[in-house]
Amino acid sequence: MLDGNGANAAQEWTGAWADEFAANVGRFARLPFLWQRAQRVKKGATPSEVVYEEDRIKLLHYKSDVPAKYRTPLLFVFALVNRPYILDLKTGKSVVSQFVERGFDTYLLDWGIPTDAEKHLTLDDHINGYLQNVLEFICERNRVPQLNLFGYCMGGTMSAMFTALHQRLVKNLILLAAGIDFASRDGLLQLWTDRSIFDVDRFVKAYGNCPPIFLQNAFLMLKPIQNLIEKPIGLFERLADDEFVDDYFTMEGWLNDNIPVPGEVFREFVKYLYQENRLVQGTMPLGKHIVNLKKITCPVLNLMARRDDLVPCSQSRPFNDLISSQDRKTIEFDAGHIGMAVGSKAQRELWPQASEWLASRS
Amino acid sequence: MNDVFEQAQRFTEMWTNLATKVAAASAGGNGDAASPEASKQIRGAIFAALSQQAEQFMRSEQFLDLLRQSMSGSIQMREQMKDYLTEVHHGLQGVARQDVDSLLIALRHLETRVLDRLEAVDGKIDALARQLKTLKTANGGTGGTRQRAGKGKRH
Repeated sequence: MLDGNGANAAQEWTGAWADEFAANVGRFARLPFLWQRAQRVKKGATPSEVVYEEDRIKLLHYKSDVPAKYRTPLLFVFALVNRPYILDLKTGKSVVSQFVERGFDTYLLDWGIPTDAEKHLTLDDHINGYLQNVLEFICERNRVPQLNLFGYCMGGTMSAMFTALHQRLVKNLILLAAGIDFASRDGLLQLWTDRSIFDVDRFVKAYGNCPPIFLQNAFLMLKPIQNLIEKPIGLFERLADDEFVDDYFTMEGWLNDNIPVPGEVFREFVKYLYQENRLVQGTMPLGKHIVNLKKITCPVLNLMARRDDLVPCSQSRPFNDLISSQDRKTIEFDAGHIGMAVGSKAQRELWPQASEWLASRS
Repeated sequence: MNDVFEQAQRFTEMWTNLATKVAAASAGGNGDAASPEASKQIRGAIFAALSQQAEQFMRSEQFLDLLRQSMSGSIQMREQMKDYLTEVHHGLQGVARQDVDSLLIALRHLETRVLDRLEAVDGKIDALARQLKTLKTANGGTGGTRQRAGKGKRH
């Protein structure tokens, strides 16, 4: 027979499991409506207009009720592997709105979705072609000689290369989780793209553009337990939390919105950076140019995510030692690769700091 | 034969390590081991152990070999499919993707040659404009400036 303590414990145990059972019934009842919830997801938070188009690329200009406080405009450059609206995902999770509200005249470069016809486009076409045209357009439109450049992930690597070749056009440079030095094997991607494992020439010859499903699966496999088991369980357990479910589907919508990468860009990025690590050696070819990071002299803010499994800190950290800028700052923030942009903690703590850094130099 | 035994031994080691970590994580519960919250904690610890093991496995020689073979196989299949479809298209007097690719490459090379020539001409015009400006300044006049036409569509 149970004593007083044992009876209390058994009662608590029974109560806890009964509550959990009731909660699960509620969760199952919400399951049939999940599909509708997923369809209601909106992309983008800040109003914008397209002000420039060239081939498949579009330049978005963000509108603000308040006139810009700073004369030097700001251009966001994202990677070629995903859609750029991660930087303006939703209200309360938008890096773009942090800068717009701060008083910057803000633009975002949307690389568009490449077709098979664009598989021969190289990094040179994107950096010294499209990106240069866009920057010159913004400078002409705003009647300024330079602008502020913000590069995220692969966009950061490209922005660094652009600044090294066209320093006169860039006033301040901000890099967010940008891969620069690919020597270490901290990240699984660096290991998997080793030339002994991945023949990128043969891959590009066979597939042309890198298929979106290929990269999507590669990113998924970086954290298989988390992505395939923990995330769906987490969603199920919080189905009653409408805000969480909305955030979840907004995020998943973007994560699954992968696009092809132009074949030659993919080849150059994997071969020259991941496999041969040419950027830090000063032998990175870009068309007829060789990229020399020492040519970067403008103020630089280098942001890294401490828990980034896609672009580990060891890839970004060496950047500040490779440039000639006197004014350079590094912030290592406790977040993941995407959390740096959309995480609540980053929105509260990191982006006000970053926008203050830029404001004091604009 | 030794290779097979070595591989089997490595796999066994991996699963043994995993089972040990999972058991250790499961044993870390407190007195209320059966309550839902405690169960979730144990589950979290198990998933963390699984994640660690998955990461180790994905860095192992076995996985990298598998990856290499899988990539090679996919690419080979794709190449064979392309060759087969090219033959079929040609056999039917049609246009294959390879033909379109060759045309695109030819256009691209042509574009590169034309752009290189234009760049050279642009450079010469710039040099001439600078010389003209220098002459005009020397003669007491004002130099003009070139307007740059952008390539894209402005709104």
